[in-house]
Amino acid sequence: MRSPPDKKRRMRQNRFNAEGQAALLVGESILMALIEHGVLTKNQLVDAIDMAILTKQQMAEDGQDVEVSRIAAGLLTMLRTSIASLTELDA
Amino acid sequence: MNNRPGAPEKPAVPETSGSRVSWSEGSRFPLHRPELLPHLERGEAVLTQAMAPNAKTFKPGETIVAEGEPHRYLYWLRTGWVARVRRMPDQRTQIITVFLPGDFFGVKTIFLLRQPDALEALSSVSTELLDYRDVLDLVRNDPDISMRLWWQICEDQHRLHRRVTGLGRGNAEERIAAMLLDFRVRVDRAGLVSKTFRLPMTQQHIANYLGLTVVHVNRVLKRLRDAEAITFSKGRMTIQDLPAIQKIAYPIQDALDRSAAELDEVGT
Repeated sequence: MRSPPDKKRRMRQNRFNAEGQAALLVGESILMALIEHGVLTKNQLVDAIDMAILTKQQMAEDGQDVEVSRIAAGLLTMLRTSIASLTELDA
Repeated sequence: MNNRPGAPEKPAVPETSGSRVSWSEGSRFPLHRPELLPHLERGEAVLTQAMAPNAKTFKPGETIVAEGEPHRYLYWLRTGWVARVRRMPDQRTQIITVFLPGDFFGVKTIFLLRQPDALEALSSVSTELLDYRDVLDLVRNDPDISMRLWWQICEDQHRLHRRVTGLGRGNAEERIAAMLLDFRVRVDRAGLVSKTFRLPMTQQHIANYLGLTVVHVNRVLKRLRDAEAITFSKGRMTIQDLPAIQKIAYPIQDALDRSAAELDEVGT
């Protein structure tokens, strides 16, 4: 049987996960909208995401939140790959 | 393909038009050399008969073959969809290929001590299986079985060639359109309904299959829905405007895909 502190911790973790997911999804949607409306080009966005990936990789190498930084770099890499395949309709 | 084919004594030879083989007969083995069809069909019939006593089912998401682990069995997919999956240390996931009913999977088990990737059920799955040592015994005594497994390896390779092209050079719309056409043709080949078909993949699965994010998959599917090219609801995909989807996928398709599209046009 799950103890109350466990339940509280699980609820807090779910909340963090939900906030992380929501932030990533809204961020990506905004990035795509920026391209769609001609505010940024696809290449400019890919460059910006590359910088974020390098930052997270460096953080992992420096021993800062190693596991989380690696996963974050992986998520950003998936985002970069996906943005790179945007169609001409978007760009 | 829900019923196992019997071993035909004189299987029909597919119609040919020039060098092109019709999809109407023997279409489970697209563009095969006509003289090989009886061997392919017989090999499949004998192998599946040997597998029939060993049925096993899996739930959606269940691991059939674990990555990096030894495994002894080769499978024939009776119903449901199965994915070959690679999971990376940073939790990125790539669906390498998808098996549909009628496919043999885990063929590499015959040769490899350990499995390089995982095989997972995308939906409820029913399989029949055989220990690789029994498969080897059958292959030694029956070249038709060997030929059928050889065909499966070639078919898997052909699918991977398509995907390399799509993932390397295709944009998101082209990848999604090509995926829909591929599944549609293969579902049709398996003897299931073609215009509307069950697509037991979540948007996350599709993203993992096509190297996209969920947001991007959602965005492209919405665009295709808005253009009335497709409908996708409750796991059922309908291609409403086949020429439009074919036009989007065309740049990354190969000659075989384009032949299928031309035959679609003749048939409609």
